[in-house]
Amino acid sequence: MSYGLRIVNPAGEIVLDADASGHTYVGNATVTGAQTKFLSQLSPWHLEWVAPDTSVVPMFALRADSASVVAGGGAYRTGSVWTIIVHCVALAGCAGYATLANYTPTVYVFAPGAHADSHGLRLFNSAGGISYDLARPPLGVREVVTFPARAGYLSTAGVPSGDWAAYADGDAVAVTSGLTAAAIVGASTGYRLAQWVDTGEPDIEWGYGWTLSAGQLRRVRFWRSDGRPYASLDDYPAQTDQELHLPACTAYLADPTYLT
Amino acid sequence: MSHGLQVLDAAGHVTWDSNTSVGGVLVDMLQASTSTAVVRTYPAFAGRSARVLQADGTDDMSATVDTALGFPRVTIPVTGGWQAFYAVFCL
Repeated sequence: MSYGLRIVNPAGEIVLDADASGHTYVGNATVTGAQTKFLSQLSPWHLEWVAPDTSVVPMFALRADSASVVAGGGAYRTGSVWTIIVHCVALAGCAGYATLANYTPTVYVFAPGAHADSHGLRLFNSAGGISYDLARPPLGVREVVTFPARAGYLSTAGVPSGDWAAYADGDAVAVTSGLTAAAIVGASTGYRLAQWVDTGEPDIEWGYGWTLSAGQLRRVRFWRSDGRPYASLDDYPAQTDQELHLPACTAYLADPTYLT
Repeated sequence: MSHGLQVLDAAGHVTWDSNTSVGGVLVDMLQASTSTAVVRTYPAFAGRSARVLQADGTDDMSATVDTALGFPRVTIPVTGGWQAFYAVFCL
């Protein structure tokens, strides 16, 4: 930049810039459809946010905490109406179909533009447009965490190899910023796959979601896709080959404390 | 704080602090196209790097970033018909 305001944190990263997109917190998405269970399928939550016009592309953040397991399933727009798809269940009982309990998700919305508040600070970009209206907090990322790719295998004889434990026990990284809940951005959470394979085709797939507790962000199994109710996530026919494929992903964690 | 910028809400809570923020600054939200790759450059951030996050919770992380021009350039590949959104952060 040749002029304007730029703020750099002690680590040398830009954290505010007059040429940035200026996304600030504008509210939460509204639940329009509840999650339902049917024959082991988990039809997700649907939430909605209406943009002020069709040019606005918002940033959504899912609340991750110690009480729930949450996973994004995509977002799409029809005109200025945005629909966000989310799986979210209570952490307690999440490993069995009978005990799987809905948990209402919280989706924070960040968008550019001016606010009606009578106080604050505005930054303008080189074109004269408002890049930030700091009457509302900007997206404040407190920590960046990265999960590695995982691959493992359980033979028909029950012999694990590779990262099989990451499938069975969940995958975790330490959260060192002290957050006890997070507005989680960008984590590619939908339909992480662990597959039961029979005759070369996956017959059962497990979904993973996020939970945050005791200083750890974990991605854990909480539902699976097949045609029958199950007693537990590990309730599958004997004599099967199982494969695990968990892609690497990066999550941005923001503090949701004052996003109200 | 000894330096930096804080944003406070009407109740006096610090809702944003430049000293505890990390990960760069959000500079763009991009939607993938079904016909051509989406390419964006960010010359205002010369000498800086960028990171692209899948912004909608799905698991396609095929976007690429390079700095061959001296500033970040982001390429979003053609999507297969579904809507896919990406967040670009410059660091």
